[in-house]
Amino acid sequence: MQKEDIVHRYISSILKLGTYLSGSVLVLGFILLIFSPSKTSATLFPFSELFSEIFKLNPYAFINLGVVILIFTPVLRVIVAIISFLLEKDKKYIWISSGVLLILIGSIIFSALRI
Amino acid sequence: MDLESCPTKNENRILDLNWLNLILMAGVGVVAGFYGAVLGLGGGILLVPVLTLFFKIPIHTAIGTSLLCVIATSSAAATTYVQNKLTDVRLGMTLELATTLGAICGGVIAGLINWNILSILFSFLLLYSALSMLSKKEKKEENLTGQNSVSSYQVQNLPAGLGLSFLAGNFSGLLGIGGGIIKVPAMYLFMKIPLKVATATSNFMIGVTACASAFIYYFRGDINLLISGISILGVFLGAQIGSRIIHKIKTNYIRIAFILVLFYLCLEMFFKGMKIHFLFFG
Repeated sequence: MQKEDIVHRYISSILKLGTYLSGSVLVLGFILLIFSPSKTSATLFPFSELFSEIFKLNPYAFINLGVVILIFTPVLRVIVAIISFLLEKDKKYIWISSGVLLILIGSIIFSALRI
Repeated sequence: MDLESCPTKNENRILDLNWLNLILMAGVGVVAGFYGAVLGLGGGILLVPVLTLFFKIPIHTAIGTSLLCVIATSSAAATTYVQNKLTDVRLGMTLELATTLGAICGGVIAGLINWNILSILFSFLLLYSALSMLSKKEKKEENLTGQNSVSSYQVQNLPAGLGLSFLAGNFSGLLGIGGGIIKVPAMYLFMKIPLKVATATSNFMIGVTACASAFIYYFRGDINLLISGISILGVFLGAQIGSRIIHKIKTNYIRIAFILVLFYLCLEMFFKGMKIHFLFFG
């Protein structure tokens, strides 16, 4: 197997998963929207309410979930990159990717806390 | 059917988020996704002005939407580019160290900057990039289409690339763009990367860059689900199409299209900085 095979294949796969999943959930949300207007507004749900609204088949909750999947896809992509570099035993890039992940997580925690 | 109303910056007019407007937004998303995928941009440079000026959406909501669309363009197109090994993943991850730090910086200093000076400085940067790309002589291999024609290259001037990526990250956090408009010239001109590899790698990177800023907007509640949702779907479609036909587009056409975008933005940003109304900005 070529050196670059694992990294490219795994990253491509996680990106495909993220986009198809996000896209499907969004499309579901909009289809629901056509058939039943939502009683809530088009603003973001707090995470505590999000899943209960999905069970109620709230179209906006589905769209919200699609957005959440999308926004986490790059994070997942970096994690998969780290795993791929681990499998390829490419030490330098294990460190680099981990650095990127740390910065990302730091920024997520930072923005979640100050709001 | 009655959907939703979105308060706009013009208080006398409420934007009706009716289905016509949503379909139009989806269409804008398709165009943004297509050009973004082909040029290595996120489409934010097209989306933010169109959303604020044509649809009269408040700027923070527009930037939030744009950041999500950049992630969408990046993720959708990268599935093709990474699979075809056009993207330089290792270079992308390296530059992402700089670009994510830049995005955080940009988000933090957003309130402190004098916009006019920033706009004018940005316009000079764009002018320099445009002129440099214009004068660059094309190597023969770059005129061939198809990923097999990308010759092996050596990455040069990494520190310059890191510095520019940091700058690009700043602009991402400030303007809601992906930063590809700086990253592509940085890789192509400074680091001597072939143009299609530069656009594919830029496309790969901007997803992570926009992600860092997008979380800030998400937790601040600056996301309208209808606008974002429909734009994202449009972008997915456009980026898929763009990434699949890029191998059929001559590299030179991509270069020329990019130079035109740079010149246009240069003028926009310059006049915006000088507070003169020009086309969309001002």
